[in-house]
Amino acid sequence: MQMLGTTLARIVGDKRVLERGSSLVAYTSDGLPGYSQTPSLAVFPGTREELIDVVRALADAGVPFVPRGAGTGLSGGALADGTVLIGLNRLTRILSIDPDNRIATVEPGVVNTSLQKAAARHGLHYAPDPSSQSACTIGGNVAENAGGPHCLKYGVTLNHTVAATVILPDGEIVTLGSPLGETPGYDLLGAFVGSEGCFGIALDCTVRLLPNAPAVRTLLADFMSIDAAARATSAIIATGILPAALEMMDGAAVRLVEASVYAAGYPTDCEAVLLVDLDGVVDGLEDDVAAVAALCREFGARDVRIAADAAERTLLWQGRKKAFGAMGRAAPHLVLQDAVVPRTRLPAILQEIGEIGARYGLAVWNIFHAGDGNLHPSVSYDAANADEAHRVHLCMTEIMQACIREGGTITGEHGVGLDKIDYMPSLFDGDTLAAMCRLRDVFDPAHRANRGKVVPIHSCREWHQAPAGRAAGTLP
Amino acid sequence: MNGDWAAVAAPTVYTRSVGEVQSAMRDAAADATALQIAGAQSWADGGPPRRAGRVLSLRHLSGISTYVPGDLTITAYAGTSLAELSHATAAHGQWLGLDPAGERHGTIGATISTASSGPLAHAFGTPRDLVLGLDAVTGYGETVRPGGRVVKNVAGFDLVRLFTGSWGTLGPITSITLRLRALPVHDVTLAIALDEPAQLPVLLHALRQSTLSLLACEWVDGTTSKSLGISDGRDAVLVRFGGNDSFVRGQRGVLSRLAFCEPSDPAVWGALSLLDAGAGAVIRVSGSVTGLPARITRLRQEIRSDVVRVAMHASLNRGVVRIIVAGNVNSVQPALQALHDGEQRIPERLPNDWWATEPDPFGVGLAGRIRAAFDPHALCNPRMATNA
Repeated sequence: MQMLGTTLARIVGDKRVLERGSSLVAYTSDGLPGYSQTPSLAVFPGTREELIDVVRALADAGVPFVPRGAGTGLSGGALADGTVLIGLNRLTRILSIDPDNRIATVEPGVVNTSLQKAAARHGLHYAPDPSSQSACTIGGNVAENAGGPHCLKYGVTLNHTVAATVILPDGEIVTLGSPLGETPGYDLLGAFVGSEGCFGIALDCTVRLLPNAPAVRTLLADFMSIDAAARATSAIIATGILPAALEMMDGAAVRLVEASVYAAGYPTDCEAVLLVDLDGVVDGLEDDVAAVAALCREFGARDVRIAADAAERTLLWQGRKKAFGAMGRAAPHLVLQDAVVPRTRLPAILQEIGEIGARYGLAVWNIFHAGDGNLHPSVSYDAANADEAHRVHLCMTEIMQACIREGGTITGEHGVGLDKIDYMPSLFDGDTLAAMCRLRDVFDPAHRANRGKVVPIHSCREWHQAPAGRAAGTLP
Repeated sequence: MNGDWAAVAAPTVYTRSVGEVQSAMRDAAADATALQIAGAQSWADGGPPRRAGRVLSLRHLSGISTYVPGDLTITAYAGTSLAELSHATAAHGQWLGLDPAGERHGTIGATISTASSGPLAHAFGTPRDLVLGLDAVTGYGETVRPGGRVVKNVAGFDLVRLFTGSWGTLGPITSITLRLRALPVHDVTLAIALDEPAQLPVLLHALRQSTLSLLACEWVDGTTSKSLGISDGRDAVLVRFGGNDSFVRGQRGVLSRLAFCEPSDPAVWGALSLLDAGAGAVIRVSGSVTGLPARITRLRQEIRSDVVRVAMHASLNRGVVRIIVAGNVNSVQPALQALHDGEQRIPERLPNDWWATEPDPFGVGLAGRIRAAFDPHALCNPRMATNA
């Protein structure tokens, strides 16, 4: 490894290769507490050329690696266990913005809000807005197919990525998609987006920018039961009115936020709030606002407050966006899940989550993208308390299994990474997992990129033996 | 769709269940017979010629298996027609925002397999944006079920996007789950006739700078406009928007300040999707949105309507021009097969012998390796040999 470090230092400079344990501590976890892995070394290329040379040097040496953006991921996906970590956070150039054609090309380390600020100068914005957008990078967003509150109306990262130049783990450089519109053949860009660093590293990403909505209205509806808020959510979706965002926070989460520096003026005696953004052209918007407000009241909202101005709107959203930060006050550790259910199943699953939490003696908080059915059940706990940690694990496992039973999935925007890999066989059958493995094999036949993530390797190996046997002419 | 004139004489295996599709695939592997994957064969000469010994028809693998209107999602078997989907969803005030060219008895399986879309892509995107999950049988005979029934899902590698637009080359798609939208309360179509073709860049700029929120915005050439009753022979821009009373009133107002608009029969969108009938060649040319007017001008100069019968329409939001040519198409072959800098060219339908010089986008590099990984014996829609 020392020789490899020397080789990499020749490419990026001595200061950009970290090998000592103390200097690697910052890279032993990501945004999800509970996982800790230490890379053998970390290397930080500062230019596209350096990144290419680093990947090719690792390919020559046959060394596995893990790409990492800002490390804000919530699935343990950017952790390197005894392998090389490639930090992409120095590749921060916005290469071009074409306001007329509404596209931007950026290096992978560009922070989401940096792109937002650059686009705003042209009256445009980049739609995916993860809660970590002030720190997370576009490369990381593409790797995870990141979402955010406003993806309800505008779609996730996949829907806004039009092209990427990618270096494959073996050093080959390929162009996926095209800023010029349609490309013939397989949607390789679609396969790459959300591949969690297992298919290679984006040298640049070209994304779509949208014109800012002419008008936005933000509503805060508070309810005296979670069930009522969930039923209001289902009713709003069923009308066909498509809010830009439709978020829910339960009463416990509201009280935590209000006790923190992120206090947003939410009513602390309620059991749930819905935060709704409606945007678009001015004409007709007030009708939708009135319809949503009426539905909230019909389903039991005690009050529906409409933000009077941009400052109030920002304040209301601050409470939602910083809610997970506020949870840090409750206990030293936080487990945060990311399941999705069909939207009509929200009332049932929220009730079941409450029951599961109670069974394990845990308070499960719900702060989530209700309009998408994208749940984020969360528990603050003390990992040093072995009994509590064990109960948290069992509780979260039951919640995930319940979401799968309701016809849902195990991740809507955080990715599988390490955290959800054990749930994959519950969601997908062996043949589907095997097919996913075969796709990875095409991009990375040596399994050197972010190995051990997304699809369980052990089942993968077993399963891709079977089709190979069948391909020999013995189809069962 | 996906019809194969090369395999017209080949026997057809009609499947009515996923199990029968798997059996057909196993039989194909056992006797090394390539399969032509077919839906309703409403687009019988679309795509490159295939080398197939049997036609695997999914026409009868049809029906809606799950529809929960409150979730705005629907799951249907591949052989379900677009008309059946429209009928079922309209009953609940919903629709699938997908209007590909072709007859409405064409199947959803073929639509997704070919990633076909139409003018509504302006607002709702292409199939990659609408498909939530699917089932497919690979060349190994195994059934894969990526994605799901939820509107947000990043679990596992994205086989949904891989199969969408794969033209059956990885194996037949058997079932698809799609995202639906609410039908707008009012659905309005207006036409803007252009006195001079040169007005298009100005109008395009004005439309994009405006506060319009459109469902579709399509330029149509003058001859086609006249034949569809849109204009008196002038080029025209068809604009579609939908929403509540206030919204529609406001959008009309914005449009009327930009250009003189006349109401148009919404049926024009259906007519536009049927321009292909009798065509000898259909291609799409895409590029930057701002370069669209110049692209249209060049294509008109190269594909002259006094030489062949030509219809063109273009998405003003996506920069894609669709060119439909009938008559002596060989006389404009160089123009239809030329590839210009800054443009992408997608052939939909070409004379048989032209395909020999068309590159196979599924055959080389990463794509070729992916195809081999899912269909190692080239059982599914293998293409006739090409010279490219």
